[in-house]
Amino acid sequence: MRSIRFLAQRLVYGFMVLIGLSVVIFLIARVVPGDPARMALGPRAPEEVVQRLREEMGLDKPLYTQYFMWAGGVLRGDLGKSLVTRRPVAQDIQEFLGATVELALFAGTFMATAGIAFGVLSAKYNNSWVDNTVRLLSYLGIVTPGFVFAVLFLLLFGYVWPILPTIGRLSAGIAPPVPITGLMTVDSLLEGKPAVFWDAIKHMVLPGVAMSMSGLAQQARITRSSMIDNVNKDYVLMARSQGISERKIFLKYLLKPSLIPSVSVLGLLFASLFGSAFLIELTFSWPGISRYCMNAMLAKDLNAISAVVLLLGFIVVIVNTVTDAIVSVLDPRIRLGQEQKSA
Amino acid sequence: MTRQDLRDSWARRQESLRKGFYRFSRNPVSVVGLVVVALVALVAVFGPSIAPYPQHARAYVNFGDAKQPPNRKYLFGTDIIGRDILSRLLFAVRPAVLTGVLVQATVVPIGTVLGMIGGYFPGTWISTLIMRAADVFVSVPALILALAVCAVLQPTFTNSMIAVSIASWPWYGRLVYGMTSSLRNEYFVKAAELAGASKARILFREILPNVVSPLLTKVTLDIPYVIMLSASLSYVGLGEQPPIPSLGNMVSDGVKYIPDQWWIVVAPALAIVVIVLGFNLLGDGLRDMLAMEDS
Amino acid sequence: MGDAIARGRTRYLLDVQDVSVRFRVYEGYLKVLDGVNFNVRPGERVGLVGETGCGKTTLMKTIMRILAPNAAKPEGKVFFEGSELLGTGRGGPRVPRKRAMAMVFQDPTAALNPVFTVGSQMADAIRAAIGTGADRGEVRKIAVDTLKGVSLADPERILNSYPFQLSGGMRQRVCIAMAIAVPGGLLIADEPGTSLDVTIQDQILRLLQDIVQRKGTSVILITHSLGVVREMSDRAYVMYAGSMVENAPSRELVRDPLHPYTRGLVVSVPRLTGGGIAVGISGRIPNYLNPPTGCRFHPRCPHFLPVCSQQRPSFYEVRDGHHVACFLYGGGHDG
Repeated sequence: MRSIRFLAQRLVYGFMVLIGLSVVIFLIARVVPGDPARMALGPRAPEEVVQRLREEMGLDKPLYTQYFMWAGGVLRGDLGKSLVTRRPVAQDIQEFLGATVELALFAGTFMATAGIAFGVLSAKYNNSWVDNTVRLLSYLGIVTPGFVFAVLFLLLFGYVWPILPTIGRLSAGIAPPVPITGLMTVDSLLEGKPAVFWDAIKHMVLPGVAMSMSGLAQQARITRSSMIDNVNKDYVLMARSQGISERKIFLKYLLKPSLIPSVSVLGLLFASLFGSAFLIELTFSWPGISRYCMNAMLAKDLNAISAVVLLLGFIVVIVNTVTDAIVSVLDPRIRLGQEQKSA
Repeated sequence: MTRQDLRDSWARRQESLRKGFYRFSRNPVSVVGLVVVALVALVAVFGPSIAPYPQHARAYVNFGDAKQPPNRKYLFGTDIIGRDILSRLLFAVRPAVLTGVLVQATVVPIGTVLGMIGGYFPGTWISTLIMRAADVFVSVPALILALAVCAVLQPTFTNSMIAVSIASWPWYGRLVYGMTSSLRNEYFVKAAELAGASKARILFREILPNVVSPLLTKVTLDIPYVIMLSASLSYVGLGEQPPIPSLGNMVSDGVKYIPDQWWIVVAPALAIVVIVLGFNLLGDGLRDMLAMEDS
Repeated sequence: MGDAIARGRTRYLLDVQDVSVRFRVYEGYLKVLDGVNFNVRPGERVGLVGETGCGKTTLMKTIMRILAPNAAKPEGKVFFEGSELLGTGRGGPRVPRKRAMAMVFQDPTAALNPVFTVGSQMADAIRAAIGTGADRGEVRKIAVDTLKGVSLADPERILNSYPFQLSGGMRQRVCIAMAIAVPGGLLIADEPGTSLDVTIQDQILRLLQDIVQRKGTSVILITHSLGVVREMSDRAYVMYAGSMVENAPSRELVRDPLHPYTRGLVVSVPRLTGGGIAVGISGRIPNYLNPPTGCRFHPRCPHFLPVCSQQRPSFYEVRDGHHVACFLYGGGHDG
């Protein structure tokens, strides 16, 4: 039961962070010099129209009232109207969110599995050529910004060896599946169209891998160093001295303790995926929220910007809570609280 | 502590620093990092002065020489309106390095002070406010936060630095907060408190020196991160505006012309990688050096 | 002569002959063990005394074959129950009978895997000894019995607990239990109880005493305390900087130490009676990268002779059962 209490604590904490985030976003948006209503309608709109929009947007009321109006709306699912498209922001986002989420999930899964796998391999064959190669590659992975990878992949696999598509989510001429979840891969399977599924996957490879590179590298590094640390721990030596099989030692005495720091970091890395998603989407013309957000930022569409940032914050908090939950399952010390009795 | 004690401990410090430098120089990778960073620093300072075609970094058009691959006249080739890539690159390094250094110079003191206050006076409203604020900023991916700030302000170079600073300070705040919290209960701090030292004195004379070492490591490893962040920002157009070249906007310009005029994108991309790599190698070397000094 | 040696060899449960171990490090080689000679008879309690860093734990790890990866292949021979151990590749005691040797590590907290229950780890250890196909109930029973045997109340609860939920003393007992769960010929106890309260340490030592008497196992008791050696062991070795310097029945060793280093150790134990502050031994343990030539103690020895820096002294039997490696009592080849 302690573990449930622990999880509940994390959720509440996350919620408080979200509230704080919303306040900050709200303040930033309202601090912008210039009159949002005027900017939305353009310099030629007559003053009464602008004034009406001002009232409609509540810009004449005191700040905290505006905040509560906005926050209340958010909780109801109303993220305000976009000043650019004039549609509810929520609706706009829905169209584009699925694409980004799908890409992030793909990249995240790849990052986690490949990262941990490479890390484990590297630690197992410590100081061999395998280890050195992985170390070098992960170093390069950390050191190269996401968009450079994107550009590199575009060049290499889009043009030099054109084996993978580089634009959009589906090839021209393929009908998109019925959007049930917003994730094309899932939707196409649900509809029973494996060909569409494969096409969607192929399109995700280049942007997804580019997005995951930095996180993959860090994951590999942390997994590796954590495993190497544990290899010299006394309990591993003791297990060996007891005659326990190497395989068991590897799985039970090395892997599980090493995964703890590794998985904790996954949450943060996943969050950073959304950061690099921005640039990657633009490079590969991926129709996700980055394009939407870019336009919003250029047009100073405050409602849209606030909504997107808030949404991403929300996703990050959820991911972090889930990661914390997984870590607490792996590490009983966190779950059950460290009650150190005196020696 | 007698004067002799102070002199002894200073001598010991110097000795271990000397050992540290020796160790550093034995590691070829760190030395490479140092060399690269030195070169980059030189370019940042003197780049614009040694660029063969400095006017290409401003409004300049020469369709006659446009789209040339790397050749004798234009070492890295020209872009689609005829500007020399090399010269523009030499100009672009300066703002990149400047961002890295300036942002750190702002963020580190502010973050450290806030973190120390937060850690030393836990439970007070100011401490809670600081740390919750830090948590909030940390919960949004740095790039998104920086983008949002930039979007709200005008897209200029200074504003992009402000944006990156806002996204970076919480990491220092939290690090220092954690360290201060644990140091608070150490005996030497309690001794100073008992002796009647003022809070400020305790913070700066007792706690700060112990925080410096991991902080220094983080700072050197963060400079490349900041450079990457600001390059990402300028990639999407928030930073130096054209025609002023920045590493990010040169890459985004070049992407449009892949694969035919590949040099337009490859040159600045490589530059970014080299700069970031150099700082990282240097940072790693410093970290190893400082870590071994502790143990 | 060969016959006597052969007979001598089979008399010992454990016979370490001229073992040297080096570790590869960045600056060169750390020559940690240098020609160690050491043996244990069946049913005997052997103490091993030495200061921190003298190589005691490394020696044990060599015997148990759990050395760190950067160790160069050890030289010399180790015989256990007649079979030679070092020649047959690395990785745990691969003796004909499993778990004939067991080790209790110095720090019980570090020796237990923090993310698995005690029961899970004990089951692993027991299974490794009696066969992995063993019945779960049987394994559990052995575990419970063993825990009772180390005076732990409520063994069931302990088996279901995680190491961090137990006190230091309990953890140490659990480690001991894991070592004796399946009967073996030799138990190695590396400074048992040093990380604990003195009173608890005392309990632990008495527990070990009791176990040894009950089961008739041989014990190697590693410690830096001469008091413990005198009380708890039959015979003791003194180790300095990677080799053995003296070996005698425990009481005699403490009462009449011969080697200058041992003398220094005995004299530096503070006494409540007799007055005077204890005297230490000047100098420090040598740098293993470039150890002193000849006898490694010679830089700190008050009775230094020129030959001491030129040759290594070997064990010389001064009295019955009392051996010293020192030129003061007889040279190696010249003596």
